Amino acid sequence: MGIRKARPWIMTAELVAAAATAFAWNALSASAPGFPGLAFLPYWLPAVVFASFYGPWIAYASIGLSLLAIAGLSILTAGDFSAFPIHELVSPSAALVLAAISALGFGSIARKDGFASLLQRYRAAYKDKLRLGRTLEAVKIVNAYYEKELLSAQDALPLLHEHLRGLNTRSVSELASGLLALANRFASLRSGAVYRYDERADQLELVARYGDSPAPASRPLEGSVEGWAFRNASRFTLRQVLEDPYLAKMDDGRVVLALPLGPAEHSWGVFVALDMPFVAYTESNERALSAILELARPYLERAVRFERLARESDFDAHSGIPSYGQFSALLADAFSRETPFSLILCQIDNLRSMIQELGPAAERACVSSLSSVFSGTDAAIELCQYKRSDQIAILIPGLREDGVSRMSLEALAALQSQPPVIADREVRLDLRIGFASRRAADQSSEDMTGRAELLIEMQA
Amino acid sequence: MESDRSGFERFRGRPGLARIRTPDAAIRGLLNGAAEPEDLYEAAGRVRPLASKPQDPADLDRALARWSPGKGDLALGRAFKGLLDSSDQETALHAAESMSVMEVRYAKAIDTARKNNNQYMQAILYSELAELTGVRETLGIFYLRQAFEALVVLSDRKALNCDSLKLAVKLQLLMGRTKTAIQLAQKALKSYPNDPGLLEALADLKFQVRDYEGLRAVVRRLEEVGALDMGRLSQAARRWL
Repeated sequence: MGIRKARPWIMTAELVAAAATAFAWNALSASAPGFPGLAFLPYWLPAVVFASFYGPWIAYASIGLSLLAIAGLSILTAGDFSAFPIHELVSPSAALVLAAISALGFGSIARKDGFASLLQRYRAAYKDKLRLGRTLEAVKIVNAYYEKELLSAQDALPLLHEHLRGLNTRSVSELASGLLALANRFASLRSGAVYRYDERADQLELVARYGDSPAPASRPLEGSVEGWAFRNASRFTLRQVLEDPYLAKMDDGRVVLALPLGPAEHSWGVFVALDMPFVAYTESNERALSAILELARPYLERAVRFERLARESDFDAHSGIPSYGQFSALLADAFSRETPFSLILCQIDNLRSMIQELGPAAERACVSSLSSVFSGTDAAIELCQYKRSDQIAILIPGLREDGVSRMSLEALAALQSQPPVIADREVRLDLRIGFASRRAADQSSEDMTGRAELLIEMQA
Repeated sequence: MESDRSGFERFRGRPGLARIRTPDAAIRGLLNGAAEPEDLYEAAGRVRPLASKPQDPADLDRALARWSPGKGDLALGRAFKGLLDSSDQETALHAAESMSVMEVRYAKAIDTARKNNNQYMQAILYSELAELTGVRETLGIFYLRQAFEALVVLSDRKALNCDSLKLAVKLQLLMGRTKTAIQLAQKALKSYPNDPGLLEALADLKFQVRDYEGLRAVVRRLEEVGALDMGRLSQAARRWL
């Protein structure tokens, strides 16, 4: 039964209890029944409380019930109601008057907005708080669940943005590795590889790999699913193996997905998924992976462009050999290793006139002939451009002073006995050679290049 | 004054009182009349994945305060592991200390499981430790062995249930023994033929070894037991039907 429905019963019980209190008080105060002195308090206090909560009429009812209880007691004790000092009850007794006025006063307060509505508001606020508390408990549980999900999320969109920014690198291999890590996080890739197309070898070369699945260092364009995806700029998916016998023949059971990388009109390479969980092999995940690769495309194009520029600046455009910048780096590296090595500088005095006469191809031809003369040795030589366009530098590791001088003389002799043929003509190279070997006293590589340059100057 | 601004306007400008940091605190504030609903929205909006960089040490500490082992929640451990290589020494030290705290909790949990003779929980805790440490690391291999031995004890007692069999399959996979994992999954399915978790594990294994016919049979079985009604598994499995 709700509080609201039980209220009349509660009120009745309270009235009976108040009357019973008056009855008990009289029973205990047999010598002074009724309202003499302070004895009116057991009748007055309940009346005041009733008036406050229920209004003046209930207060009067409480006084009336109390009087009945007292009268009842007098009948029980004296056997006769007339023995009860009724005149004391009905005579203008200060206590009775006080009780009546108090009931009226307190009842008025109960009727007005002050106390009753305060109680009402308190009850309503308490109920609201109980209800809110239950709702917020439920919100707390839901919040705990979603907070846990979000905290442990590995593939939220903000994370994708962070990872894509991390692809902004100038190194193609770094970018490829970053792409594989991204695919691991957002497409549940367990193993993968990135291949790029090598024009010279006409095959796909491995750039980066991820995970435990084996990834060969190169893949042919024909006869492999990676090559198929690259040649056709199309997506390969494992499911196609069951439907297409042509692809089934090429499939070696390693590749789950192969997606071309780069613009459709000019694929740069292939992204290969080698292993992913069964539940991740869905069409929506494939689309997600395609979307990620598409988002990464500008970064890939930038890295490829930068790599190409770096390669071009490393090589002299005319002679096709590493530039002077590369030579400096190689020389510094050789010097830092503190192992014996030698340097030969060749100055071709008539190079410019040859180019004027025979065309730009003469430069490459001269370099080629020098290269073949010095390559005849067992040493792993490095042929590079030197400071001027008509100067070539050759680094020979492991060669000492006596060896380098002999090599230089042999080269000169070889060039004189077998002059190079350019545009079907034998050409005499007007060559000056300077050389230097690393000495213990050398403080820097400039000491070596200085000695070699001095030798050349002395032959002028 | 901050109280003069209503709604979300309170969050503009400099905060006067201390801002509520977490959604949980905002909910408690709402209950006690110390916060508005906007505080809850604002606090919830600031929750970021633990893996999101730069990581806020306070967020990680709060997550660590609420974390307990054995629930499969490895994100926090991975976040700390990622910070071990930080160039900032203090961050790296903090991450190392936090990982140490996690390890201590694992050790206590394992000790409790041992005292309660709960081999299954021991196996779970060891497998989590192995995944966190790295299954190829020496310590990771040790943890995997410990997890495996706990399951062997269960097996000797003939107390292996469906969950412990699934864990056993997962352990074999973590150890790189795909064929053994397949055999174990197939054997487990004899006892629990309709368990979707076991069927899903077997489907994953068949997919790994490219046994297409076997995979199709498992997918059909998944459909029969009603495991393909919705979800990611349904999407993946229907490709093979």
